[in-house]
Amino acid sequence: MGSIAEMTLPRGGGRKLSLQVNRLVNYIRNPQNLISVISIILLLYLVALPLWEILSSTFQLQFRDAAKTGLPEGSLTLRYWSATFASSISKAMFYKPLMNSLLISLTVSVLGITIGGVLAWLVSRTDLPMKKFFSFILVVAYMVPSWCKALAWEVIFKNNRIGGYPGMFQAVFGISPPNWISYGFFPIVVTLSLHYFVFSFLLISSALASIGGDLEEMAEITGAKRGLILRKITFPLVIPAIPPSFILTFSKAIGSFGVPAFLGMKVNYYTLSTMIYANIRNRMTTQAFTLGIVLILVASFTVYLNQKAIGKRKSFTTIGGKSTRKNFIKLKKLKPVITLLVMAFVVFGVVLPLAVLVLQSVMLQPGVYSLDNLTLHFWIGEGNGAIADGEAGIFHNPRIWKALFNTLRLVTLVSLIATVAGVLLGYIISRGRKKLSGRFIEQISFTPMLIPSIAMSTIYLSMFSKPQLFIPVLYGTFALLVLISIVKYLPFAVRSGTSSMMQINTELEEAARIEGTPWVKSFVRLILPLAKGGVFSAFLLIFISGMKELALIMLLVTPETSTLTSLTYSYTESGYEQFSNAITTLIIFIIITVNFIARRVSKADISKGIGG
Amino acid sequence: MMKSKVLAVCLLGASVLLAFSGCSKKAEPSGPAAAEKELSWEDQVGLKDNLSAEELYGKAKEEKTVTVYSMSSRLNDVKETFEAQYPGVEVVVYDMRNSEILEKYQREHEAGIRTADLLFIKDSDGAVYNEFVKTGLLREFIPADMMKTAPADYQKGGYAPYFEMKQIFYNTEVYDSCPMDSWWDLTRPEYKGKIILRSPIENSEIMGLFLTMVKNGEDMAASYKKEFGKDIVLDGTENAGYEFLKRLSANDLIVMTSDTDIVEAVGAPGQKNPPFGIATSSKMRNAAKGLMINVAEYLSPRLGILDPAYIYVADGAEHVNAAKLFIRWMGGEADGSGPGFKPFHVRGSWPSRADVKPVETQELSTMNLWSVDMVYNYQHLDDLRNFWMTLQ
Amino acid sequence: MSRIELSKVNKYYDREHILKDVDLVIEQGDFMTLLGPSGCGKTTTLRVISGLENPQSGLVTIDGVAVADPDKGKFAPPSKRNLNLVFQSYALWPHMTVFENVAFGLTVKKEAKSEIREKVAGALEKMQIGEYAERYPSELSGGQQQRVAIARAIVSQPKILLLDEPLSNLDAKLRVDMRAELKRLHKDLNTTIIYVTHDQVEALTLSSKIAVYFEGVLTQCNTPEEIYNNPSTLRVAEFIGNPKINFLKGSLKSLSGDKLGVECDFGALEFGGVKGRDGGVARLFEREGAGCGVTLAIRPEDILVSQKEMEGFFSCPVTSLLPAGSETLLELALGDNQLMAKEIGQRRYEVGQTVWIGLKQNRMNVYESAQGKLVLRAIED
Repeated sequence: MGSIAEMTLPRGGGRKLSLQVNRLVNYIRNPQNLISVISIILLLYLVALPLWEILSSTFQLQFRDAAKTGLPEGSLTLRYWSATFASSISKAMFYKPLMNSLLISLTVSVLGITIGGVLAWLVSRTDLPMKKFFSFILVVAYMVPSWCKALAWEVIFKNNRIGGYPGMFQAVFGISPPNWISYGFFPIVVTLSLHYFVFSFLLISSALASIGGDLEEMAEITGAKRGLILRKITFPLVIPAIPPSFILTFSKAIGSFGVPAFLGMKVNYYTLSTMIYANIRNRMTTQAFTLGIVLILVASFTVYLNQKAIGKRKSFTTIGGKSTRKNFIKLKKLKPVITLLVMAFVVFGVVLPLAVLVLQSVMLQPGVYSLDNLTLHFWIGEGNGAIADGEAGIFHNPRIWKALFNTLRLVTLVSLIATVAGVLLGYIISRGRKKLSGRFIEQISFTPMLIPSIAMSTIYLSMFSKPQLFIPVLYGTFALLVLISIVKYLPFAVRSGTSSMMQINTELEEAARIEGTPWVKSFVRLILPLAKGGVFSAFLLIFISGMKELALIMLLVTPETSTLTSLTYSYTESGYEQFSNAITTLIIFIIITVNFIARRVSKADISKGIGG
Repeated sequence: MMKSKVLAVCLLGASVLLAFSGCSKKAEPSGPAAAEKELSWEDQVGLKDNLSAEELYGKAKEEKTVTVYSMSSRLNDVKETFEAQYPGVEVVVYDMRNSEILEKYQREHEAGIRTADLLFIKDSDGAVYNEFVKTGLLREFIPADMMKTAPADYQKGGYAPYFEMKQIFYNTEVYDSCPMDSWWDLTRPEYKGKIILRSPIENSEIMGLFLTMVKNGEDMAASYKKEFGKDIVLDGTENAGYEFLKRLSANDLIVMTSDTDIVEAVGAPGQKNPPFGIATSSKMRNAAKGLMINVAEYLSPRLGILDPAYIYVADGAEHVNAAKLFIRWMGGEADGSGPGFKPFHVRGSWPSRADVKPVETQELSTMNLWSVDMVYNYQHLDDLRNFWMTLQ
Repeated sequence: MSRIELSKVNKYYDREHILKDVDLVIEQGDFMTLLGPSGCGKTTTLRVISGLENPQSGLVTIDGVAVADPDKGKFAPPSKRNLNLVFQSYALWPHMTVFENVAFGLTVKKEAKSEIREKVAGALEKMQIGEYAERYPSELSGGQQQRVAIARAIVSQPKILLLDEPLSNLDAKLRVDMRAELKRLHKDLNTTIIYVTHDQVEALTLSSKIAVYFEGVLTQCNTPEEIYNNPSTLRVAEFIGNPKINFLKGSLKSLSGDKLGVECDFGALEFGGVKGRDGGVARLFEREGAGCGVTLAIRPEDILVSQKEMEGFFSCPVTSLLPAGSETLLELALGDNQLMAKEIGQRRYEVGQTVWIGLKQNRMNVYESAQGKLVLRAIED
């Protein structure tokens, strides 16, 4: 085959050149290399370039400041960075929010890993009753959007200070909760932990599942007590699951917007992400970018430190033995207490937020807890009455139907494309770990995880409002929503793609290659089917995350492309929280249904999706 | 087969390289030549012509559609009545936040996308006037016959069908009348932790009022003396306006993210010690939802400033006549009684024309107001924002 | 003294009946092998003895003391049974060095540091892996890991050592070496060893006693010789021995005095000394009469092969030849039966050639076909 290419090339004088061209052609002709090259270009363009644009714009004088300073627009300036780091407002705009963000993310990571770890251990190692139910409902916790939990918190623990209708707690007990319970650090940490513990729960569960029970039994035979076994055997073996849990939790928590916005802003408690948002709202975009860059740096640095600290440890691969039937640890006398505690956790983390949400969607006047205040208007109202300025209930509302259609179209497309991309990139990474290209792709495809959604949407907004590369102006189109979502969820897809590819022996491919099967065919016929489980799981995880996504697309939607989440936000803005609550309920219902069907049909499992 | 593949790859690579080199270049800023050319656009399309509704409708039917970026969802109601009145002209409403409208419009304009014909926006801090109107990005159009009775300030410039204000809301269940008669009351210790407003950090709407207070420092100083009987002592601030903000901020403010939430917090029935709120006057509408609210009708030194809602024509708009027809409809046509104005003819907003009376609201002529200096506001916005930030 | 006794032990997983009325006695110093195909319950028996699993009914005693008594709800924890276990997977703790792995049990018992060091060194020495003390399991070969697992199990000098298919992850050569090692270890330690395997050669080589399981039922428990020579059922017979035992279908023809006549499709056979060979064939004949279907079982090495026609021999063609160095296996077609005969040394035969074979009737076990039970025992030649 190589000779065909040779013959078409000039001979003689251009020999050296032709040799190099030949090499290039041969390199490209290898499908793996071709994919590497294309994906590096795309990733550079969709991830690195936006980052570069963000960074460079913070050193350029922006239009609105140009007029004031009299300097030309775009001239080199340090004013944005000095405003951030060293000015009279640095403390309020940067240092305080930064400290808050760090404190929140670290506390949430520690709490989340602890809660997730304990629950994972209880569910996979002890004789806790109703395990199937618990492992199902605990994952549902992740399907309920985090801001929904913040909302529930506020409904319950709202205090006197704020005025207005009393919170449920006050309505029931007649006591106004102290401020630190109602707003600020404490409730933010609690609600975020109640949300992000799921990462650790899933990752540690699967780590526990991969540790043969015999390791613990062996220790039991030597006479070690439960506590000692936990400390000396189980815990050290689960440690490799902690860095990924930490990375996921920390980067999610530090970028989270909804929860600190709900529970922090009212007491002037800002985090980096809410401060970025505030700046963008005030059209101080460049200032927001400086904060965004710091956020990205902090997240990357923490991840790096974390990997450095624990990455040196050997990953423990145990020799595949007989998987002995698990002997569950008897909780004995503590069983009812622990069951009750887990139950309470489920109630607070899942049931209560959902119940509050549904309840709020059927209350004519928010905060008035009486039977005659209940109405189904916001669900099935015809929309010609005096309620809510005549806005029809969600089942009669064409805006909502349209948003539903948009949402489903968006998340389906995004999950499909991102998953396929994840598999391809995962393939390149797993086969090229030793190559620079493989490592590079791995690093860069992970980066979007560290870019806060709000910062990412701002930069995409500016990047795609003019024609780019072979891409036309995407601003205001549905395609832009698809594109940004794909890039944002790529880290998930790539992680799971890589881990399923790692499990597929290269010999399988080599066997196919020896028989002369073209690469594409062996990929589609051999590798994809083998990676099926992981692929479905990644699809499911992205689908669920996409259904809940708000911050990422908020700036980019138009009335034509509005989604369910963007509608909830605009309803909240216009004071029709019942509509938002009804729509959110609908979103959660769709998520749970899809998850249920997916598990039934394909054995997909979102824990595999996060690379567990 | 192989050859074409190789060729495709090379082409792809080349196009990527080209595109990369292309996109690193910044868009050229429009020079004075461009501005001249654009000025003529106004004449070309006859923006300034004062055509009658019938004449406009005739031309608008050819344009078929008009697109509005609006900060108010009430434009959806206007759309309905408009389309009923003028069949064949479709209205597309994009309901967005003020800052988003500006961001979006600016980027689209830069990219040569002409989606919007009209922008319905507020300009509390003067950014719209200074960044968009002065540069020709937005065009002013006032239907002359409809604004004859408007306050002098608003007979030229951008068209503002109605005004709103930032006002102090109080709870009518607990207070028979407003216990505050001066802005300085907000700094009194008895109201510590009892005042709610939208954080200026997150939303600059209230900045128009604050900037005006800062500009009129002497007014604030005089008012202080009247309230407390002694001259104000500035604590490291420039003037009494800044001093007011400093003391206000020190009074343990509660910040919320929406005016709806603020009036609800103030006016929810059954409270013993309700807070006060600074919010947009049009939220008086929510009294109909069972909230026990009213606004302060007299405040020293002045009640506040008007916060007009402007409707501007987009530069290069493709449906100028339909846009103008829509503006007329929004304003209630020639006599101000048309159904297009209905959604704005509510409690807490003032029609800009004096011949249309506000609903259950004190009359504009009885109110003691500051006038707004857009240029001053715009120039001092960043300073004030920074000042506010340092107080936090 | 450490006598282990299981009586009427039953174990269920959910509704699955894993152990069915298992009775088993293991004497002090026994090398007891639990043998059977996978899923037969042998590992479960081991885990019941270790205390990792608790039976639902029956009784387990060690030295006369009940360690598992479901009726009374009394179960002694594994650590109180003075035993240790080597898992099939070795279950080496991957985050500990070899030394730490072996020392773990002793540290749990809070023994003095110096003593621990001494004991661990001793155990490692015994397993000839002293030099690897500071390595992690992942840095060792399979055979070395195996030795670590055993060292860990013996360091606390348990009275009972349980081994769960310890050699199944090793390659063929290592496996043979380890067998010798285990045998030496048994002699050195003088402990009771209970050993689970599905490899009958291993069982025959190592054990002082073998218990054969099928589907949760303990079918036969005896010395390796007895199990090899007189499998109590057709299934045991088929399971034990390599190459496999030969089965010949036949029917009872006559029983007169000490002589039993059996009719096969290739001819008649006569068995002598029936009374001395017990097994109940007389009763069977009494009950079922002539024509009762029986199966004759004969090991390949008990078939004599001759190139020439001989008295009492049957002629049959050679269908296949399997020379294996020290021995030669011949596949023969006798009537409808496929037989395997084993000749020591290298012999020259040709496929298709006719040979004459003699079946040593003394070496044949006779089973009742219907029940598969032994009715006439093979005896020494």
